Amino acid sequence: MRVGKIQYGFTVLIIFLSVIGGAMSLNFWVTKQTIPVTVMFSEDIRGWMTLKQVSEAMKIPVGEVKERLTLPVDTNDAKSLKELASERGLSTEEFKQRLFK
Amino acid sequence: MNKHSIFHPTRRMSLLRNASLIGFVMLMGYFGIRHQIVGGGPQGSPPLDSYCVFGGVETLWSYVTKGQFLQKTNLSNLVLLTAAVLVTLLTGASFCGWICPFGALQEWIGIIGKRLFGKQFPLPVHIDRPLRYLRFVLLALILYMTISTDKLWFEIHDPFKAFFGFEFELSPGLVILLLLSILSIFIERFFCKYLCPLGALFSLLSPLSIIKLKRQSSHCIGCNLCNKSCPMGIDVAHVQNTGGDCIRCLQCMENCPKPEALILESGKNPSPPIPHSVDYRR
Repeated sequence: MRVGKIQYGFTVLIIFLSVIGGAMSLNFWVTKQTIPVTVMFSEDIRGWMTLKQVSEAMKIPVGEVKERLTLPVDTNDAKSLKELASERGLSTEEFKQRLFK
Repeated sequence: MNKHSIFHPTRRMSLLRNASLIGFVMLMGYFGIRHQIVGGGPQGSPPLDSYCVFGGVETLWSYVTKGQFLQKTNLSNLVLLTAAVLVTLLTGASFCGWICPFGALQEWIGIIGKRLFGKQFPLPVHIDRPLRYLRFVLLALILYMTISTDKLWFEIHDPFKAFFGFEFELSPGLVILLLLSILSIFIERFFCKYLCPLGALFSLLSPLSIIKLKRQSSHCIGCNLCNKSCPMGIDVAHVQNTGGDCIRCLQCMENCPKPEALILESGKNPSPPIPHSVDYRR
């Protein structure tokens, strides 16, 4: 069976978008990151994690997280590691390492 | 209206294809910028990796064997991979020619190169042919390293992420991106032809596709305009069908003066071995 050029183009796009649309409607389209359940290495800690999320993942109090990161006690718990690292002119990787020293 | 204008009625297919590519490039740009502004995590915006088809290939092993996704990947990667594989099995490697945002960038840089120099500079056949296997080597290397390190090993080398991630920090990926951009000025779709690991995978599946691009030799006048217009350097003028390397951009069909010489047709027989040609465009 012959297929026209325009018909072909629409076929490509319709199949591709239909699979994505179908996955979305069936709740298979998951993109959000989740907080890691166990933390063993610095790679398990992500830059987007807030101090509170780090404390939950590492199962230690927020105060201890701040202490390990040498942050003032009144630091906002909702700030992310990436934010805090950039405020101090550090890379997120360098900053995260402090948690494991 | 100028016949070469993209808005000419005979070039409606090119208009549609370019509209599709622009759409996907803008979408990826939006995802990359949004992640940079909002940040990641459950409270933020997903990383670009979650929208990458190749991420699905990388995370598949981990998902099948451990039921876990590699860091920064998710179920969306497997959905995208499924969509791209289905498209390939039905229509050939059209993902590369109609959807891939990085392929689009390569193509547009190539157009700038053509405007600057009036031509492209394809590699000689004896270099081009072995170099095309490099993407299979790269695919195997990436899969091996990803499985053995249990993380997205290719991430820091990935030119796609270096561009659409909008970080532009000095990284191997950014250096590779700059090198590829320069090479694409001289050699159209350099990355797609020689380095793309996803393209390597699709080139293996494409010969199994239901819809094939076929040449009817009885209608062909041997003008070689198809070869000159092919961004992948395929010897379209001398094959029965275009095989695994073809990205189904349909430039050959659009430039062919004989409407019956190149056709899209559904067929059962697998394509013959991948044809290679580069000198035809000189």
